[in-house]
Amino acid sequence: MEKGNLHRWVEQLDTGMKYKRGLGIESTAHTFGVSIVDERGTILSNVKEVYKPPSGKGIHPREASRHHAEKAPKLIGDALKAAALAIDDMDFIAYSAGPGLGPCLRVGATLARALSVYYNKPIIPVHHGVGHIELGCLLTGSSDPVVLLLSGGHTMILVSGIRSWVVFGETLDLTLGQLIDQFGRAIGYSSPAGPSIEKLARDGKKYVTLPYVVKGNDLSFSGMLTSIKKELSRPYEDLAFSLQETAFAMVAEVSERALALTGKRELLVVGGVAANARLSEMLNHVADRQGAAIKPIPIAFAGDCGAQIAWPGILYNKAGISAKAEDAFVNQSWRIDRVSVPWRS
Amino acid sequence: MEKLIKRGAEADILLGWWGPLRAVFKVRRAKPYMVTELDLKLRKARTIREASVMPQARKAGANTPYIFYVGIRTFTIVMQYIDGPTMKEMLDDKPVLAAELGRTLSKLHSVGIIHGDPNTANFILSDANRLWYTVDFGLSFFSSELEDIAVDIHIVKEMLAAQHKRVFQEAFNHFLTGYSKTAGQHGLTQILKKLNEIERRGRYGRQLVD
Repeated sequence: MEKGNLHRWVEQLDTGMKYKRGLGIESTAHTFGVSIVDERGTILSNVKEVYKPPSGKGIHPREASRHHAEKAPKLIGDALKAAALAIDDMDFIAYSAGPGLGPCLRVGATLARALSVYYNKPIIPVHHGVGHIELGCLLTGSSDPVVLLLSGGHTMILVSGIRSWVVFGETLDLTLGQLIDQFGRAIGYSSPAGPSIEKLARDGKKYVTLPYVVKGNDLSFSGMLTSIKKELSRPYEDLAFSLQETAFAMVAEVSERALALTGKRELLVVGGVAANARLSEMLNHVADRQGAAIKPIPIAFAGDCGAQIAWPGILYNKAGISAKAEDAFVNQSWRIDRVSVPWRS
Repeated sequence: MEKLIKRGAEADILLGWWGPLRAVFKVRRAKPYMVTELDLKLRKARTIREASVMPQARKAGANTPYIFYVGIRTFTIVMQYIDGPTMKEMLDDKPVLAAELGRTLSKLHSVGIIHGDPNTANFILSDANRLWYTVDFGLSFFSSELEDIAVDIHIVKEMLAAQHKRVFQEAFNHFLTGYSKTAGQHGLTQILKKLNEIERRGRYGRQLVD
């Protein structure tokens, strides 16, 4: 008996005290997610609810934020329960501070501030895009990759800089996610329309010529959206097919440029659009041609989730960085290259 | 016969001979991942564009390799081989070289040529005559729009920040100094204003905010 108790006590000391862990709250757009991660990079829990707008509509920030506020208490509870931990066991509370939709961001930030003040825990604002990248590096074991960040709000190629992520190339107007969503809306799908468009594109046969705009390492999609909206009399399958082929080829080309010019050997693809099978296929070719490895992210973590906030929280916590509750704001248009990332050099 | 010396994102660069002359064979090969119609269209357009812009660029005062042969059906351009280091290899030790990039780019812009890919990897210092050569006009086009000029400068800025991060600020300042030599201070001010506008344009967050 005594021995058993001692053993349990030692185990508790080992797993319970030795490793730091924190709670991350993601609420930039459709998804409200909560996750607990420890400093070894073990994802102890990761739960989420996704707001689905009515068909043919985009996300309404107020409706989405209402959805998040309704689901939040239960999800916090679920995340703790799944990890078999109490909020008092957390070393910090991290939240997504931007970029994203103001009302949605504020739900997460308000909750994080309340938990931080009530339970006296450090609070850590995390950039949504940095979250995607760092979680991607953790899950794929990438060390110094060329990063293709394809979330709803970003279409960027990045490389690590001096204590920051540096933009190698990006869209000059719409993001890839916005292009797909806005086309989806025009033909009656709700956002995010990616999976529906992908499915539709599989039955596309005829390629419709669309503007292909690559400028240096930058991309532009606005012309493509305008021009596809003029072709809506054609079969939607062909349009979806042509949109994917053209837009993804542009992304593939700039990815290949980035690999060729930097000589890096890893290509990391993160963000919701990373789940698209056709894009993965193209990027595999690209990586092959340039002698680089492409490491897929588990689908569950490709889209928005709490773990992408909790893990950078760990990295900031280890670097001794946190915010004061009164400074824990949100920033709807937070540039990723302005974010301090002390663990990168 | 020809030896592959570089595999870029959109073309293979091979080194060979054109009669008695050393020559570069720039071949735009099919991309297996692209839908055929698009692939053919792009390769053809870029081959023609590159071959037609290069002599024009030379007239504007930027050194470019002489073209020996253009194969539209094989998507090949054979041109003079410029042997020497690229600015990409030298800039980190010598940021002042960016001024040369600025001078060349403003010469091109002054005659309505947008390079489209002003990367330090595309500037070669010839060992033979110590002159800077500009290459890779595959993404270039003709325009005198302030917008297009400013995007070209934006690409330079982004490229310096990503590829030459330790000397970025210094190099970009040299670039602007070089650029203003031809464009004039007034021209540069106009362009920088536009550049600022482009960089602010809704690329940062989501644009769906109410």
